[in-house]
This record gives sequence, structure tokens and C-alpha cells, in this order.
Amino acid sequence: MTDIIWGNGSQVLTKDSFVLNVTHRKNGNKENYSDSEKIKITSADLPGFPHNQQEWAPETLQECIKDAFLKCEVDRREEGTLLAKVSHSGVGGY
Amino acid sequence: MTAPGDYQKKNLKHIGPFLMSYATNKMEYFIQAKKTQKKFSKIFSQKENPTKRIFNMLKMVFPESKINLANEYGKKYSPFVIRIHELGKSIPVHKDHVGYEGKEYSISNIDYQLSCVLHLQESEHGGDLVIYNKNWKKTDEKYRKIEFGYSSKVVTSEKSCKISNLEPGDLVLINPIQYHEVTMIQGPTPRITLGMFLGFSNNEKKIISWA
Repeated sequence: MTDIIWGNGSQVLTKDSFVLNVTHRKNGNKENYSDSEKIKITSADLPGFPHNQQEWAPETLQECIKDAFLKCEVDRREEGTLLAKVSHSGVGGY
Repeated sequence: MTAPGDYQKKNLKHIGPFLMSYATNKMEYFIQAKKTQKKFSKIFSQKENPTKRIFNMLKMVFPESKINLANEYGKKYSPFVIRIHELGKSIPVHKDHVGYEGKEYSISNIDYQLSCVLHLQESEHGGDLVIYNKNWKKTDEKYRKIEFGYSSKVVTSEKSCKISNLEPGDLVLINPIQYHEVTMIQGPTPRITLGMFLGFSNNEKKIISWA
């Protein structure tokens, strides 16, 4: 089973990485996660963020993840950074 | 791609797609919207489609505005969603804001959004609408729940208004950017509503609807 963490997007580091302020962790996660994690996006499903990686840019990422509530399905950790599929987590309303 | 959330599957029954379940899957939303229009035509073949009466009422309030179902490149949005809330179900604190979560859709450019809910059937107890005197802001996303809505902490100590005397046929219009919730259904009769949103633009005298 994939480890999953949720939280709010914070500082954008590059066109495909950012800092997540972790608020929720899936019960049964194999690894431990701190309250602040660096995330490198392997694939994204975020409103307004291009599916095509060639179109990713720091400005667009900033607009889409800053403060947004995000779900990160963790693939692995490399040199302290989590490689994860990043998506919006449900919605805040109808 | 987004599929209807687990929250929706487990806790609510509904007829018709609603945009927020397809926040990043616009193509599927329009496919489902088209299918549902046929279903609604069947449901209301012997009765007046309630949107007609709602639109007529809105025309009296906004006589200079044209009111139409929203469309995008000729594809019609879902006209409304019928929600069936059964015993033990509630809708947690949330806001509805197409400008934030529906940004892949053209209607996200509207200036104002209203929620428009026609009550078709009420439960004996519960199912009350509570509206909080607080508008959503982006930094409130730290209060989000995993699947849907927000922790009640987001409205702690905010003034609220509870509407508990709604009857079938009542039409409720609210500013959905203000946090709101529906209390737990406590009677055996399900609460059934027909809901849609209305969008207004500053520079155009037109009102669009969608669900």
C-alpha cells in the first residue's frame, strides 16, 4: 500500500517541487513524515495545472499549490525529498 | 483524474453530476451532463421542469438579465442535481466557490455566485441549514478535511443562522462563499433537494446556471 500524506502547499522550489505543510497522515503509513516535507511531483492532478510536464512552470505551480489542500501519494524518498503523485484531495464544497 | 469522491458515494445519493466531482475531468463531466439531461427530461415529462419556474422567478427579480443554462463551446453544463439525504447523514461545514475549485471551467470567471436550492421533501427532524457569518478565504484551506468540507474549527465563535422551518416548495438562495452546513437527518423520511448555482458578471446582464 502506498503511503499517503495530506497538507497545504507552501514554498515553490522549482517547476516540479515544493514544500508541503503536512496536516494529515494515512493510518498504516510505513514511513514517518515530518510536519514539513519537500515534495517532487511525479504526476499531478490539480485544477489549473497542466497534465503535460513540458508545460510546468514555477509560476503556475505557485498559483495552484500555494495554501491549497493537497494529497501526496508517496513513491519513495530520495535525498530527503519525497517523490509523489500530487492531487487535490476531494473538494471544499459542491 | 478525479472520480466522484468517496464521501459522495458513501453518504449521499444523488441524481445528476455536479461539477466539483469533476474538478479536473471536464470531458467526463460534460458526458455525464448530457446523459443526465435525457434522464431529467424523462423525470419531468409529465410535470413542469422546476428550473422553468425558478428562472421565471429570477426574471422578476432581475428583469434586465437573460437567464440561461451555462454552456462551454456548445456543451451544456448539468442543469441541477437532486440530492437525497437519508437518516443519519449530514453535510459538514463547507463553502461552494467555482472560482477557486472549478478553475478549469469557463464559468469560473464569474464575479458572483449564488446557491439556489429547491426543497422537495423534508425529514421529520434535522436537516437544518446553518449559515455562518464568515466568508471562505484561501488560507482557510488549512482547515480542510480529507474528502470534503472543513473542520468545524474554521467557524468556531462565528455568528450563525439556523434555518429549521423549511418546507417542500421553499426555494433557498444563499451566498455559498459563506460557510454553511446541513445538520444530521434524524427522521425516517429523507430530505430531498434540487440544487443549482447561479453566476453573475459585473459587465454583462446575464445570469448563468449550472450544477
